[in-house]
Amino acid sequence: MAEAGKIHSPPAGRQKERPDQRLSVIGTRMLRKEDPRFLIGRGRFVDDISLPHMAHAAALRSPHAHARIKSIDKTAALALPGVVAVITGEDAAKETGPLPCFANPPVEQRCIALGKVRHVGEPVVLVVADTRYIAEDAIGLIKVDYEPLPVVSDMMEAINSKGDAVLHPERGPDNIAEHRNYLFGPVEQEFAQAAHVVKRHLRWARSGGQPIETCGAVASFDEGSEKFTIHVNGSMYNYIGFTVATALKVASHQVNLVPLDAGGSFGSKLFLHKVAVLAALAARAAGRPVKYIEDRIDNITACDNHGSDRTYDVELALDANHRMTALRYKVVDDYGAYFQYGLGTHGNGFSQTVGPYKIRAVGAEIYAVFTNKCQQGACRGFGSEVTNFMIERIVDAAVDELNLDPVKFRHDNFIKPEEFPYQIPTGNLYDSGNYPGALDMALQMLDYEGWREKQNAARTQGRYVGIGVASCQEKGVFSATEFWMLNRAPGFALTSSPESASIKIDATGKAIISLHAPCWGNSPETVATMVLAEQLGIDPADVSVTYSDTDHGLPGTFGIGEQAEGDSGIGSVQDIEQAGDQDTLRAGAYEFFDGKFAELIDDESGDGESNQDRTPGTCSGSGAGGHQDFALPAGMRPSCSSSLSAATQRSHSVG
Amino acid sequence: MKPPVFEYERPPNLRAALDALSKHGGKAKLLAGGHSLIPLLNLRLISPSRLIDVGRLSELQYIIEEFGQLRIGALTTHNTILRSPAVAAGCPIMVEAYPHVANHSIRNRGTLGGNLCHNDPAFEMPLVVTLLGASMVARSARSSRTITAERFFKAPFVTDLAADEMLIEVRVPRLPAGHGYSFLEVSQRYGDRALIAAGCLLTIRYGTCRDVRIGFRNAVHNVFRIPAAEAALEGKAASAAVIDAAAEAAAKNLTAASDLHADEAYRRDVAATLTQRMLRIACARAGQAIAE
Amino acid sequence: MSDLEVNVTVNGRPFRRRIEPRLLLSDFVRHEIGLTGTHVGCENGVCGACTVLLDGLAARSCCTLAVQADGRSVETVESLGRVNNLSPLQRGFWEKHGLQCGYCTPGMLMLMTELLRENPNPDRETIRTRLNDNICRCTGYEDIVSSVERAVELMRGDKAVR
Repeated sequence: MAEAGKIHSPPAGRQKERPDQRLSVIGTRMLRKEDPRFLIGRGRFVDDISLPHMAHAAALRSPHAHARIKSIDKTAALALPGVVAVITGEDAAKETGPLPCFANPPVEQRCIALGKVRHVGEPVVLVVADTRYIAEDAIGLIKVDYEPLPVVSDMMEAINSKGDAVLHPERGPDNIAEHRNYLFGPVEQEFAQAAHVVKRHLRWARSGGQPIETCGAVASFDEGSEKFTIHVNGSMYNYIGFTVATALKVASHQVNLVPLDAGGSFGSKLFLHKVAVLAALAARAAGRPVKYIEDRIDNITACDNHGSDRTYDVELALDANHRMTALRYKVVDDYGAYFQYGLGTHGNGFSQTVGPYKIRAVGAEIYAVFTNKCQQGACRGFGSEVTNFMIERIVDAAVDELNLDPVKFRHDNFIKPEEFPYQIPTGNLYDSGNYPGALDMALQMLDYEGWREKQNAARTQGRYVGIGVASCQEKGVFSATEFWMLNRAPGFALTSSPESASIKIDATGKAIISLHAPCWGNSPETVATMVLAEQLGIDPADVSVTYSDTDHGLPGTFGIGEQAEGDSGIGSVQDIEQAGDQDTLRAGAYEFFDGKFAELIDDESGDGESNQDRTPGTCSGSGAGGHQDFALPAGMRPSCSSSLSAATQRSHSVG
Repeated sequence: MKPPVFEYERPPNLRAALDALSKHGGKAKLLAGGHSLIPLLNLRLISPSRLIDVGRLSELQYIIEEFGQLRIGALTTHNTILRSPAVAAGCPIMVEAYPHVANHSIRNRGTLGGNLCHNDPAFEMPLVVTLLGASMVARSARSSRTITAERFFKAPFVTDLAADEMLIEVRVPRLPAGHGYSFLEVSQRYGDRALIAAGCLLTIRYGTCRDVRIGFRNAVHNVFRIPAAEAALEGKAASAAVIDAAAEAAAKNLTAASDLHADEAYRRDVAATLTQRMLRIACARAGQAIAE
Repeated sequence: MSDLEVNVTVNGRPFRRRIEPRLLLSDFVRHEIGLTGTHVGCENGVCGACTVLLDGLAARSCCTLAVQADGRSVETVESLGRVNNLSPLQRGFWEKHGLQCGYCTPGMLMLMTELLRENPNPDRETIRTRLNDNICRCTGYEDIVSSVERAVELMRGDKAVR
C-alpha cells in the first residue's frame, strides 16, 4: 500500500461538483415525488400484494436459544382443514441449499433450522395455509421435541466455548467465527516511541432497525417456465440477488426478484434472502403463490439484521506534541448465530479507520464470536458508527488524561483541507473534506464559547454542566472499499459496487427513469427526477419513475437515494451529456455507471496488485458471494453511446 | 399474530350477558373495549373458547352523581370519564391520573371496568379507585354484591370476581370540597408503562392532615396503600420533617420489585421522591402551607 | 367457529360480509374490503400504524375485531382525499416533509384527523401530546408536528374540515 499521507492529484474529471455550477432544480425545494401515493394510502408494500389463489405462510419459532431438534410431529397440523403444506428443515433441505453467506469459509444457515436451533425465534417449521389465521392454528398443533443444549449469551464466554456449547461444530471446536490480526503501518514502532499512551475499555451494545413494516415476500412459481417470481421488500436484488437463486438450487435467470416500497429499513431490509427463499420454497411446495410476512415477534427475534455488539480494548499513542500517532485495539464482536457478512462491518471501519485524524498507524485484533442470538447484519452505519464511537472515546481519553482542550486537540490532529486527497493507513483514500471548518462552524452555531462561560459560572454555584465535542468522519457512499482492507488480496474489484439507472425518453419528450434499487423512504424518485430535470432541462412533472426487477434491472447496490451525498447520479449524467449529442439522449435508452473509482485505482496499485485488465462480466472473488466486476474495458469512459450503441435508436429529435 | 378460534356472542342486554356468563363460566371472556384482551389473543397467550361482547351495553355506560357519591358504569370509556365535569369536581385525582392511562386512542375504546378487572400491576386506575375508597358492584345471574377496593384487587391480574360475575358499576364516595390530591407517575418515556405510579389524598382539618391515603403501584405487585407512610402524616401538621418521614416510610415499606426495567433500589428511591412531591402538591391544593 | 354476517360502513359506503368472529378489523379493511392504506405494524396495540376512525374516534384496528364494527362506521386514510384534491392534513404532510417511508403515515393522518375535528386550532404541545399515541421510525416526529401545524394554517383558509 502506498504510504499514508502522501498527496496525490485527483484524476481529471473526478471533481463533479463545480463551485460555479448554477443549478436551477437540484437543491431547490421540491415536494417529494414519492408522497402522493403514501398520503392517499396507495403505497405498494409487500402485504398489499394479493395474487390469485395465494396461500399464507407462518413460521413456528424456536422457543430455545440452543437445542437439537430430535423430532417433529406434523400429523395434526396436516389434518387441519385449510392447511396446504407443513415444511420442516429436513423437507426444505431436499430442495434448497444454505442461505447466502459472504464469509469465507461460509457459515451454514438454513431458511428453516436443520438439525438444531441456534437462537430463540429461528424458524423450525413453515406452515402454508389458506389464511394466516389457519397457519397459526396449525403451528399450535405441531409437536417438536428438542434436546436443549448449553446456551452461550456472553461474548467473552463464547471465546472459550467447548463441546455442546459450540454452535457450529462442523466448523471447529469453538465459537470463534474468525480471529484476525491487522497491522496497517508501523504500529509497534509508534507505540514503542510514544510519549504518551492512553487506554480505554469500551462497550457498544447490540441494536436493531425495528422498522414499522416487517420483512416479507410474496412468491409464485411458474411450472411452465420453471421460474420463480418473488416480490420482496428488500434491497440489493440487482447486486447479489442471484444468490437467492443459488439457495433455491436454480439458475439465476430462473428467479425474478421484484422490488416494493419498504416501510423503513435502517439496514434491516438490506438483503432479504431468508424471507424470499421461504416464500419461494413454500410456493414451489404448495403449487400456489405464497405470502410470507414476518410478524413483529419474527422480526424482533429473527430478522437476521442486528447491529454490531462489541467490547473494545483501545490504546492510543501520542507524541510529545500531543499528536496522535497510532491506534491499536482488540475487539470482540458478538455476531450471534450466523455470519452472513463476515467481518464486513469491520472492513467498513477500516475504510475510515482514523476518523478525521492524521493517525499514521492502526493495529487491530478482531475476534468474531458466535452466540445464541439473532445474527448481525446491516444496521444503520454498518460499523462506521461504532468505529467513530471508539475513536472519539479514545480521543476524549487523551484530552482528559493529558488535560488538553478538546477543540484544540482535534484541530491539531485533523487532516487539513489542503492535504486531500489523503490516504489513510489502511490504504483507502479520503477524497475531500474541511474538518476544521466544519467543527468551527458547529461550535459557532451552538455558541460554544458562551456555553463554556455558563459552565464556569455554574460550577461556582455547585452545578455541573457537561459539554461534549465529537468530530466524526463518515464516508458518504457504499463502495467496495468496505471489503478491501480485510484481506491481503481484495476479493472485490473497485468497480464491484455500481449504481445504475435507465432512462427512456419517449416520442413526446416525457422521461421514464427506472431505478435498480428500491424506495425505503430515502427519496430516490425525487432525487432522480431533480437530476434528470436539471440535466435535460425538462419539467419534473414530465418525469415518471419506476423500479426494475432483476429480469430488467441493471447492476445496482443501493440506488440513487442512498447515494444522495455522493455524486454518482449527478456526475454520471454530466458524463452522458458530454459524451453524446442531444439527439441521442432524447431518442434512446442509456445507462451510466459510477466509474470514478476505476480511474482512481489505476494510479494507486502500490503493492503490485492491479485491478485492470478485466473483461466486463467476469466473476472474481471467492466464497458463496462471488462478485461481478463491472469495469469497462481499458480506455472506455462510462457513457451512453459506447455502452449501448446497439440499443440506441435514432429518431426525430424533440425540441 | 392472529387470534385463535373462539365462539362469539353479543348479548343485547345485561341480563342476557349475565345468563351467558353463568352458562359458560370460566371458559368465556368478556369483551369490552378489547385493547387489553385482543393483544393477548393476538399473542395467543390466552385461548378462551368464547367471547361475550358487552361493549355495546349502553345501560352500563353512565356517570351519575347522587347522595355524595359518583356512580360510574363499568363500560364507560376512559375518555368519557376523563372529560366529565362531574368526575373533575368529585374526584379530581382520577382526572389527574387519566393522561397516564395508556394513550388517547386506547382510552377511546378502553373502559374503566375492563381496566379494573384486568388489574395489570402497572395500571393506574386500580390504585386510584383504591385510594378513593371506591366499591365495585358485581352482579351475576343469581345475585349482586358490593366489593370494597381492598378486597376486589387480590393479586396482579386477579380480582375477587367469580367466573359468573361481571363488574357493572364503580361507586366513588365524594371527597370533601377543597381536599388535597395528587397523582404522579414515572415511566421511561411519557406514555410508557409505569415503573412507579403514586397517588395521595388528604383533607386538612384544623391545620392538620386527616384521612391521609398514600399508595403506589410498582408494576410487579399489587401494592396500593402504605399505612406506615400514611401514619407518618396522619393527624399532624404538614411540615418538611413530617413529609420526609412519610417519604422515608413509603420507600422502606414499598414492596420490593426488580424487573427488566428498574431495580428495587431505583423504585424505592423514586417512591420517596414522588411522596415528597405529591404531598406538597396535595397540601398546596388543600390550601395548607408547609412549615419548613 | 361459526361465521357471522356483519354490516360495516367504510368511508361512507355500506358493506356486508360473512366473516369469522376472530377476524381483526385491520384485516377486514385491508383484505375483505381491499383498502390497503391502513397498515399493520405490530398487531399488539403499540405502534398505531393501523389507526382508523371508528364512529369518529381513533381506534387501533389491530386490537379491534371486525365484528365490533358491525353496524358502525369506519373511516380510513382513503377517505381523506385524492391526489388532485388532498385534504389540508395530507397537504400539510406533503409540504412539511411529514413522511419518509410512508408506512406510519395513514395512522398518523387518521389520528390527527380526529384531533383537528375536535380542536381545529391545537397548539404545538397539544399536537405533540396526541402524537404520543403513534410511532414513527423515520422522521423523528418534528416534521410531523410541523405538518399538522401547516394543516391548521391551511384549514383557516379553507373552512371545510376533512
